[in-house]
Amino acid sequence: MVTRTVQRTLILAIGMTLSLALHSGAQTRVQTDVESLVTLRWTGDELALTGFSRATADFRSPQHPMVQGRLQLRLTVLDVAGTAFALPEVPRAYVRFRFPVTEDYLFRVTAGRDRLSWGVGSLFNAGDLLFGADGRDEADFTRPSDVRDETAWLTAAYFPIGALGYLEAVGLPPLPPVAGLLPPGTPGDSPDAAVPAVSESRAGVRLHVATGPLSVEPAYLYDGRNDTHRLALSLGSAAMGADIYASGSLDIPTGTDAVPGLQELLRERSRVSAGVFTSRAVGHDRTLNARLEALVRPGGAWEAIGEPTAHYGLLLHPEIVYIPGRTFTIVSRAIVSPIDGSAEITGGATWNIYQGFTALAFGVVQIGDDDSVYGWDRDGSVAILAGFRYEF
Amino acid sequence: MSRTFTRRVSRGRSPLLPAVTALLLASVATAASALSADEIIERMEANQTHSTARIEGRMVIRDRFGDRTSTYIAYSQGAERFLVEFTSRHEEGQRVLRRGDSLYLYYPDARETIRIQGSALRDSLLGSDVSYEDMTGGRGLADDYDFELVGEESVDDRRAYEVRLTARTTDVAYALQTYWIDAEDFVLRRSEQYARSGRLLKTTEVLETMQVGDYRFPSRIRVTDETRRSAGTEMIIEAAEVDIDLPDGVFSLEELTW
Repeated sequence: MVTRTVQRTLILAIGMTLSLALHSGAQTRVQTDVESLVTLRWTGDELALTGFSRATADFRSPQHPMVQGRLQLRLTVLDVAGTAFALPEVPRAYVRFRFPVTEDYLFRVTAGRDRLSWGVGSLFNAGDLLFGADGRDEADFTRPSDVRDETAWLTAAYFPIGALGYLEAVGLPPLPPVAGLLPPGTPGDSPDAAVPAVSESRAGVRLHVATGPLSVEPAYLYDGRNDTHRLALSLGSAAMGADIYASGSLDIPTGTDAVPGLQELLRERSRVSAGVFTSRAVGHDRTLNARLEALVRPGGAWEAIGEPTAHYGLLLHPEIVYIPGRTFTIVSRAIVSPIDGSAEITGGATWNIYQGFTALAFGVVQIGDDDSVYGWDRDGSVAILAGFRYEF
Repeated sequence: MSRTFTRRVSRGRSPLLPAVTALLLASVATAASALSADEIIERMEANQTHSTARIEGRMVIRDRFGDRTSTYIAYSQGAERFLVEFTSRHEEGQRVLRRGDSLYLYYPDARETIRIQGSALRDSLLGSDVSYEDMTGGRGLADDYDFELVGEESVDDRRAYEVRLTARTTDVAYALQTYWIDAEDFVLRRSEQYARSGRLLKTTEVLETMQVGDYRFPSRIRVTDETRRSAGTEMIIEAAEVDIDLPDGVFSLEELTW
């Protein structure tokens, strides 16, 4: 049964979509993405079958050299034990414009909900001060690339520096909860929820420069949520036919608490990510891509402590993607916690049968003990997912 | 599109659009006689470099499940600066920038700019047989192949030089290639790519040419994978402008990420 809140959100989403479609100009570009999947999951006690559908409508403004607008609406519907749950989202909603300072120089501003990719890394990226170094919670391993797709409400200004460099400043305000748009019981659904203070804003800047084969990106962010200065440095280059990259970040608390010494800061509040990526031709028309990333948290545990929620000092992310033809892709990805000897392995394939239409099937299995980060015989330790995706 | 076309044409220093295009923007050359194979290849590659260009094109891949079409707009300035923007629905907003030795890829959803280096240069573009390196040039045929002039043949009633390319390294897609290059305008008319075993892998045919100003170049190319049951891939130039004014800012990260 669909709850009243869900009905409300459905009506809202559909109404917005129809309204936009009806009132949009002839050149507004609309793209729709419908995904329908079935998941068979081991809950720890039994096998559970879950239906899952997700529809995304993407509205882009007509092409203009100085102004852009985009609205992306997404509705996810889950069917669990005969009960439907719906989650509306607005992953992207922004305006972007260029402002000419002189005839030869301009800067641009993005305001709204969007994604910014700071640092470098696929799953682990210590240089990502906006969305975090560890992308495990948000990662979608069924995507052929870009396993992370977090977005946030922000205002960003982009200042070009020469042709291949730029300075980007960003501010992320703490937004009040949107009461009534979330499923009952979701934090923030209460109309009485406290409005966050302006002091909980985040603001920062990054500089991106390329020197020869080396890309360098220092970044800074003030995080008002915990009164912390955050610094990061990301480097990218190539060696021995492979792309290599690394990022490091450090959090420096302020406020009334005494600032720890440098050694303690490095030990307790730093993180480093590093990766190597290589792509090899197999025969004349097949490709094998391989990636290995590591996330090092010096302040994490370096011995197995028997806690499934433990924050260990080292995590690994190997990935192999084999492309035997133009339309077929075989993907194998894993997250490995070597300190407690556990891992989650995802493997599957996608087949782009027609343009925009893709069939996909993936399996997930966790390996490890009951007290490991990943382990057998727990909810989600084994899952099979299959379905179709169509973009039109 | 064809890796064939790609590896072979695009491994030439001309870029972009791959196959499509660039390859093709060839300046009218005077007929020459008694040219060596190296000189013929050099003139073919020289023909693919032009001061500035803007090209609108599409790539149509045909198989038993139907057609897949990608459209794009490409800008180029000399042999060092290229920007490609895909305009078709499924790839809209994806862009590739090459400026000198720097190659950048932009994914609009991820808002991510990736600097392509090392082996990632060989990654497939949009699942096609074209690699980033192929598409944007960067390596001349002479970097990887030895050339031998086999003779002259008639291709579509035009006199063409037959040039055999033999790889000096194993780090190329094709151990052996044969080019048929027009003896008058030095435009590629046909090519074949072979495996080390001698098996024919792909063929490229120039189906139509286009005249823009003083330039004549192929405007429709079909690449056929001879190892599969495939109707092949066609690269079509819809519109081309050459020697036009392009603002320098076109070839920048700001434009790439706009």
